[in-house]
Amino acid sequence: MRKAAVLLLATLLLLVAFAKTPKDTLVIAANTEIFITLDPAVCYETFAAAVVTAAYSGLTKIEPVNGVLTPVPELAERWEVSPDGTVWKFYLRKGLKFSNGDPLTAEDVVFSFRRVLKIRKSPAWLFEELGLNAQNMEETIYAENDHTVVLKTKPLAPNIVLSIIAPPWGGIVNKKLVLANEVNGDLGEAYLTNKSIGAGAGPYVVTEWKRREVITMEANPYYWRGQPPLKKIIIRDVPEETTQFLLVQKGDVDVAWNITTEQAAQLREAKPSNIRLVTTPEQSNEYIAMNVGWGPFKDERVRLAIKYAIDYDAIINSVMRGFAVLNQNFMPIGYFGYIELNPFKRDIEKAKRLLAEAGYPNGFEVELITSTTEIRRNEAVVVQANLADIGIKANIVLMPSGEMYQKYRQQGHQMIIAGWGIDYPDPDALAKPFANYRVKQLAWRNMWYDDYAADLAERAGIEQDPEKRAQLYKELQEYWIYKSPFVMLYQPVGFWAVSNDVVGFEKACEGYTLVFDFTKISKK
Amino acid sequence: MKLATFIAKRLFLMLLVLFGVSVLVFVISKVIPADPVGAILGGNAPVELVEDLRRRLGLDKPLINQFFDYMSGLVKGDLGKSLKTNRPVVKDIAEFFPATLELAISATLFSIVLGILLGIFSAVYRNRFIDHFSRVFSILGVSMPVFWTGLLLLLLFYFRLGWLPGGGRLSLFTTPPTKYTGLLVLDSLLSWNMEALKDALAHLVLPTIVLGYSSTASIARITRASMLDVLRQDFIRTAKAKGIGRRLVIYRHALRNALIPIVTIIGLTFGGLLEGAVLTETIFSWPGLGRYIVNALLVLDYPAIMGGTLFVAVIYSLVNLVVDIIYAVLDPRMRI
Amino acid sequence: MDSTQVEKSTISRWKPVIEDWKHTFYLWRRTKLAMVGTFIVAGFLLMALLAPLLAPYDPIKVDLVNRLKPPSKQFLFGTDQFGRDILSRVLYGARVEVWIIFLVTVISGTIGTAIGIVAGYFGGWIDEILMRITDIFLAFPRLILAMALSAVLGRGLTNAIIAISLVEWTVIARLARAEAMRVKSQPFIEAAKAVGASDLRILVLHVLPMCVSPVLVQLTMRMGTIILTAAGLGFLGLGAQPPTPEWGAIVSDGRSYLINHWWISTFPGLFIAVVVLGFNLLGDGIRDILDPRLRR
Repeated sequence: MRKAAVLLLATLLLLVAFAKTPKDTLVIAANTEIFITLDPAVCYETFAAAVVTAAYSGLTKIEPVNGVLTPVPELAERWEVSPDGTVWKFYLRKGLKFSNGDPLTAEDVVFSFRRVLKIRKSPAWLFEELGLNAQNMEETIYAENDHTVVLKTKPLAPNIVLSIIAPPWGGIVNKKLVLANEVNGDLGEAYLTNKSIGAGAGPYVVTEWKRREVITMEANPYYWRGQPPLKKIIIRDVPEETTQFLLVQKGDVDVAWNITTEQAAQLREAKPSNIRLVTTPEQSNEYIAMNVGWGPFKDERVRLAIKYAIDYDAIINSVMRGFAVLNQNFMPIGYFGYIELNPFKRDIEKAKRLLAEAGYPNGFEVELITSTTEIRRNEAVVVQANLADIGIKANIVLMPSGEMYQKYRQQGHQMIIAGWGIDYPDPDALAKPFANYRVKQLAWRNMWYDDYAADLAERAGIEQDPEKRAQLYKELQEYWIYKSPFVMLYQPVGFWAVSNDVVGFEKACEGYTLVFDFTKISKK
Repeated sequence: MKLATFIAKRLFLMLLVLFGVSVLVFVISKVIPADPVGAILGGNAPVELVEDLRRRLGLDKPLINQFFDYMSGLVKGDLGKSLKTNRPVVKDIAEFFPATLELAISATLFSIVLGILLGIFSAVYRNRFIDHFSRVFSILGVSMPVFWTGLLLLLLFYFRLGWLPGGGRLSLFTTPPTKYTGLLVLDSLLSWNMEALKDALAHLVLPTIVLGYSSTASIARITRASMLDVLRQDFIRTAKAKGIGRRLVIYRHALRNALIPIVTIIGLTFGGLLEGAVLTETIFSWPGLGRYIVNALLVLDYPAIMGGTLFVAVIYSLVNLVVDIIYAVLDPRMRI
Repeated sequence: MDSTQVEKSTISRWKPVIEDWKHTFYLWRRTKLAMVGTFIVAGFLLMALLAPLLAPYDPIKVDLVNRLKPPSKQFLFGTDQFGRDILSRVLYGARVEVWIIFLVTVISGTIGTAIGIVAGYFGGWIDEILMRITDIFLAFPRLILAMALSAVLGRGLTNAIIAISLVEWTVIARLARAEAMRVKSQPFIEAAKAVGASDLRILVLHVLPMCVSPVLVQLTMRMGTIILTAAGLGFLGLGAQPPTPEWGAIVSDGRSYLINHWWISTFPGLFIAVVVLGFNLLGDGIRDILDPRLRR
C-alpha cells in the first residue's frame, strides 16, 4: 500500500514538473483536424494558412499599417507598374536564401506562381482573378533576370494585385528541391503536404506534421530579417475546446486556439492571474442568404421583411456572447471605401406589413440550411425563432459543409446561413462575390442577377483613381444594403486564451483571419 | 464433416460476403448526395474550379468505370487516396488502426475479467442479492450510452479532480516510444520507456472503462448461463459425490465446459467493440479508426469512408470466422 | 382433412400457447428484475403520452433571458443556452424516442419477418441468397452502417429511422427464418399442402402467426439497442435536427457547456440509461422466462 502511494506521488510530481512550457518554445493547443495540407499552392484553411505563411514568404506581406491591412514589400524590395496597371515588375532583394541555404531567385518565384495555376486547387481562382491562368502563364509570368519577375495582369486597382500575390498562396517554394522530390508529376504536392524543410524562405520551417497529433515549426536560420524571437512552435492537436481551455489554465500549453464563446466570456469576466483573453476583429463575416429564384424570395419586399425580422442583438450578445461587431454592410469595418450602414433593427410590425404587402400575410414554410458547428446551430435556432414571430416556419437542416456548399453552388438552397472569409485586404474581395453575379460567386449562387450592382463592382475594381473608387463603392453599398438577398449578421471577433508568459500575441493576431504573424511573439 | 472442409467452406463464404460488402460500400459512397470536392476546396471556390477538380480526380466518369477502378484497386490492396489528407487510405488506416486495436484489446480484457467475475458470482449465488446486483450492474453497463458515460467520467476525473488525462494517447511532453507495433503499451515495454508506459496506461484507463463496461453484460450473462447449465450436469454431481471440494468442482469442471460459449461471446464482443469505439474515440480524442471514419463521414471523404468501413467489415468477418473455427474445434457437433 | 378442419386445427394450435401465456405471466411476477423493467418501460410510455400535460414549459421556445440557469425550483433540470427548460425537453424527447422505436419496430419487423420466413420456408438457393445478403449487412458494425446510411439519405429524424431499420431487420430475419424452418416440418403444414393450399396462403396463415410472438419478444429485447443507436446518431448530429428534442442530440448540445453547466448533458443521458435499462431488464427477464433450462 505504501509503495503504491509513493509511486502515485512520484508520478504526480513528474507530471507537475512538466507542467510549464519551455521558454523559447510556444505551445499551442488547437483543432487541426481540418488541416488538409501545408502546401502553399493548395492550402486554404485559416489557421493552416497562418502556418504556411510562417514557412513561406512571398513577394509582398500583408501588414497592419495604422490599422489598415496593407501589402508591404517582403521578398521584393520594390516594384513598378505600368500606368494602365497591367505590367508589373518586382525587384527581389539580394542574397535571399531558402531555409536550407539554397539561393532564392526569380526563377523560384516564377515556378511557384505557375505551380499554383497548374495544380489548380483552391488558391488558383484568386490568381485567375488577376488574369493569370495555366494557358497564358508562359507569357504572363516570367523572369526578366535572376532578380526581376514580370507579371502581366488584367487592368486592376494596384492594391488588388499586391494583396493577392502575398502568402499563403503567393508563398515562394524552392524549385530545385520541389522538383527533386516530385512524384508522378505532382509538382511536389505530396512532398510539401506535411513539411517545408528547405522549401520555404519564411521565418519558420515546418519540420514535422503528425496528423491529429502535432505540428512542429522551428526558426529559420536563413530568414532575411533575422531569426524570430521564438525558436520553436509546437501545435498540439486537441479537438475538444474544453480540453484546450483546461490545458492553458493549467499551464500545459501557452495558447488555446479554439475556445468557445462561453469560455471566452468566462475569461473576460474572471481575469485569472496566469492567462488572459486576447481579441481582435476578424477578416470575415456571417450572413443569411436567400435564394432569389425560390418562391417568396423573388419579391424584394419579402427579403426586406426578413431583414427587419432578425434579432441582431440576440445573435451578437447571446450566440456570440459579444464577440462580434454589428456590421450589416458587405464592406468590413476600416476598409478603404467603407461607410457605416446599419439601418436594420428588429421591427416585427414592419416585417409583417412588408410580408402582407408582398402577398404572404400568413407567412410560408422555408428550408434553412447551415453547417453543423455549434455557433451556426445556435444561430439557426435564433433565426428560426425570429422568423416564427412573423409567421414564417423555418425548417432547420444541418449539413456537413461539403454537402452544404454543394447545394449552395448548385443554387439548390432556399435559405442559408454561411460566412465569407476575406481572401485579400481589398474592397474588391467583398464587392465581387456579394454584388457581381458574373463572377459566379455568392451573388450568382443566390440568383441575384443584378446588372446595376455588377457594373458598379466591376468599375470599382478597375478604377485607378482612389477618390473615384471610393465614390463607386459608396454607391454600391447604399444600393446593396436594401436590394440584395443578403442579411449580414456581424463581423466576428476572434479570441484566444493566452498565457501571461506570452508577449506580443495582440500584435501577432492583428489582421486574423487574413494574417497571423508568429514573429511578433516572444516569451517572458 | 472434417475440420479442414469446414474451414474451407467458411472461408469461401466469408470472401463472398466481403465481395458483397465492397459492392455495398461502393454503392453507399456513390449515393451519398454530396460533394467531397467542394468540401476540399472550401466555400469560397467558384463553381468552375470545383467542376475542374472533379474532372481531374476522375469523379465524373460513369459509375461502372469507377466501380471497376475501385475493384481492381481493391484486389491490389489499394484503397484509393483520401480526398482530405491526400494520402493513400491504406496508410491512414495503418496509422490509426493500432490505436483502436489497443483500446479494443484493453476494453475486451477489462470486460472479460469483470464479466466472468460477475457471471460466476451470479451463477454460484443464484437468485440471492449478489445475483440480482451483478445482473443489474452488468445490464446497466449495456444500457448507459457510451458517450454519456464518457462525458461524465471525463467531467469527474479530469475536469473536477484532475486525476486522469482528458484525452489522446500520450501527454504533450512525454517522449513517445519507438514505434514497433503502434500499440503504445507494448512499444513502451519493448523500448523500455517507463515514462511513456505510465503515461499511455493513464490515458487508457477512462476509455477502457467506458468501452469495456458496455460489453460486460453479455459476457456476464453467458458465463452465468453456462455455469448454471454445467453445474447441473451429471459429472458435476458425480464429482461432488466423490467428495471433491466445491470450489474445485466449480473452477475445474464447470468453468472449462462453460468456456465454449464464452469464447464465442468474447469474439463477438471484440467485434462489437469496434462500434462502441467510434463514440468513445470521439469523446476522448482518441486518434483511432473509429474517429477516422466518423470524420470521413462528416466531411464526405468517400475513399476514406469506403476504405475504413471495408477494413472494419473485414476485421469483423475475420473475427467471426476465427470464433466459428474455435467453436468447431472445441465442439465437433458445430461443424455443419 | 379439409380446409376448415385445417383452420380449426390452427386455432386449436393456439390453445397451448394461451396456456403457456398464463404460466409465463406467473413466472414474470416471480422475476423481480423483469417486473422492475416493465414498470420502467410503462413509466417511459406514460411520460411520452402525458408530456404535454407534465411539461411545465414549451420545449422549443427560445427564452434568452433564462439561458444556462442551473437546476432550481423554477427549472427542475435547468435550462440550456437558449433558455429552454431541460425537463420539458426531456419529457417531449420521450415522445420522439417512442416515435423512433415504434417506426423502427414496424419497419424492421416487417422487412425482417418477410425476408426471414421466405428464406426459411423455401430454403434452397433462395435461402442462400437471402442469408448472404443478411450476412453482408451484418458484416458492418451497426453504428457505422447506420451512419453511412444516414449520410446517404441525408440528415433528419425520418432518415435516421430508416437507417436504423435497415440495420435492425437482419436480426429479425435470422429469427424469423429459424422459426419458419422449425414450423415448415410440422405435420399440419404437410397436410395443408396436401389439400392444395398455395405457398402464399400457408406462409401468411400458418407460418407467420407462429413467428409473431418470438419476433415481438426479440424486438422488445432489441429496443434498448435501437434507442442507443438512435441516441448515438443524434449525438453525432445525424438524427433529429434542431429544435427537435431528441435525447442524444440534447446530450451533444450540452457538450461544450459541460464543465460549468453539467445539467444539459447529464439529464437526457440519465433518461436514456434508465429507459434502456428498463427494456434490457425486461428483455433479460423474458429471456429467462423462455429459457427452458431456467424454467421451474
